[in-house]
Amino acid sequence: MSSKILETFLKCKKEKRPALLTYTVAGDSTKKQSLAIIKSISQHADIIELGFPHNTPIADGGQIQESSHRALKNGIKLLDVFKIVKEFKKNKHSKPLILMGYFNLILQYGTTAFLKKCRSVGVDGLIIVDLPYPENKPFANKCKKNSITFVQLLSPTTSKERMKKIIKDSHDMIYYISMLSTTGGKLKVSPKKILINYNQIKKINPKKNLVIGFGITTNTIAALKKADGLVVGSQLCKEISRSLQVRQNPVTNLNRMVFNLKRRII
Amino acid sequence: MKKFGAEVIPVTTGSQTLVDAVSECMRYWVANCLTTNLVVGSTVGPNIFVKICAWSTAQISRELKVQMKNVFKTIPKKIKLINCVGGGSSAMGFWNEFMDYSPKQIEFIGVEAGGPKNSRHHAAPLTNSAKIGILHGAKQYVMQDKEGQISETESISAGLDYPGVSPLHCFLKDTKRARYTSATDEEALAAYQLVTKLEDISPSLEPAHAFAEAIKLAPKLNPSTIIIVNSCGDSLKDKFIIKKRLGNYIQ
Repeated sequence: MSSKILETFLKCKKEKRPALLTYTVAGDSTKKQSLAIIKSISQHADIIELGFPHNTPIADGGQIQESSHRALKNGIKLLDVFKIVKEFKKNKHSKPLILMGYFNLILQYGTTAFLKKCRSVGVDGLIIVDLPYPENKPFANKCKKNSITFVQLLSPTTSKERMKKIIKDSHDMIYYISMLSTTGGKLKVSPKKILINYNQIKKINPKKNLVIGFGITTNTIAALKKADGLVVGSQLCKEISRSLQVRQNPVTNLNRMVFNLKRRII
Repeated sequence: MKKFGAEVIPVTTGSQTLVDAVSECMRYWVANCLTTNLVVGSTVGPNIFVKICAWSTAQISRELKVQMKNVFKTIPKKIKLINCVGGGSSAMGFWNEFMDYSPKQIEFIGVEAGGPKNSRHHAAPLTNSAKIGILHGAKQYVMQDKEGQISETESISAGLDYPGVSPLHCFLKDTKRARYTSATDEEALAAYQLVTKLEDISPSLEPAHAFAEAIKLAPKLNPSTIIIVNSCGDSLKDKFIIKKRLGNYIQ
């Protein structure tokens, strides 16, 4: 069965460009505003990643920590996140949406109930940062049964042997973490080196859609455009913080930023 | 640590307590794992780090066994091993060699941080039957809200001020090999004062929690029962907190 995520990658391939994935945090800086942001940026982005904030985000650097903190301070709950997704998905032409977060929230909600809810509001995929392979196998299988793409993560320290196993069990999209860093780190590896690693992973199974994330900004995105997809997150979260500080509208500022990101990869 | 040449970096994120320090260490390590090794001074974190710590601290129990034989000629028939539990490293080390003894002969009692009297921000997940959750890459009993957000904790003792607890202790609780209770900040302070006055040692505020339990328990026991408390830290490190709370500091 074809998923919306898969269709998006096929469409981008036809247009000979990578898919642009954006990450923002649900509830940042308010529930309403975060919905307005994803609605607005999906004009240019191909896949929307939406974070459900956790207060102990061990994989995240300063910018996303700040966004998560802001969202939690404003009282965001998982049910609000689902409401935002539902509202976003009301538009028939809306882009695929991937929820991203930490496993404890899902565990407390109940994995079955969580996936049921995801399906009913229209979530297309999940990235769970602290649920590694092979511990994620039962949950990933459950996702598949609910027609939700579970996105496996690969990093520069993943061995080839392990990669083969992970790729074999992966769904419609795999996420390659460009460098050894938390989110929001400065790109400390050359794009050339990242693409060498990237191509080696692609060789294992060229059919799998592999996106690159971490350290990607307006400055670095063009050099990586050979990838199937590119994720920008921290730069967007930082722009929300900056917009709030200078009392500008984050929605219009983010729209402009995502437009610029897109322009550099087409 | 500084005295021995370590560079100490304060934590500026979150609630600025142990939970944030562990998060920051993990973040640093993820970014620098090619040149840096991560070791955790407590039995928390992903699987292997729990083991590295617990197997290292196990030396305490091997030494205790030797000391017991020196003092009692044999392992006594009824012993209570009392240890404070934050992450749980010193308790694991204190109990390790005695794991296979019957709990009737050697009972393990873990004392968690009960926080200020009548407070709700406890760092005592085992005592307060916290739900199982995931924190720092391990499944464990952890103080959290309904959604799964990790709760802020409060304790006079920095070393016990952690919302989770080692998965090893969760296992010991579930299998009933150890029992867990808590002592309040006030009880710990009183125990620190009493022990410092009567003994040649001056425990830090972490083991003061264990001493508080020993003080509570002792009057109820048969004189032949042996209580051993692990005084796993010296009060000197808590000098400023003790001075603030009690007005003066005497070691």
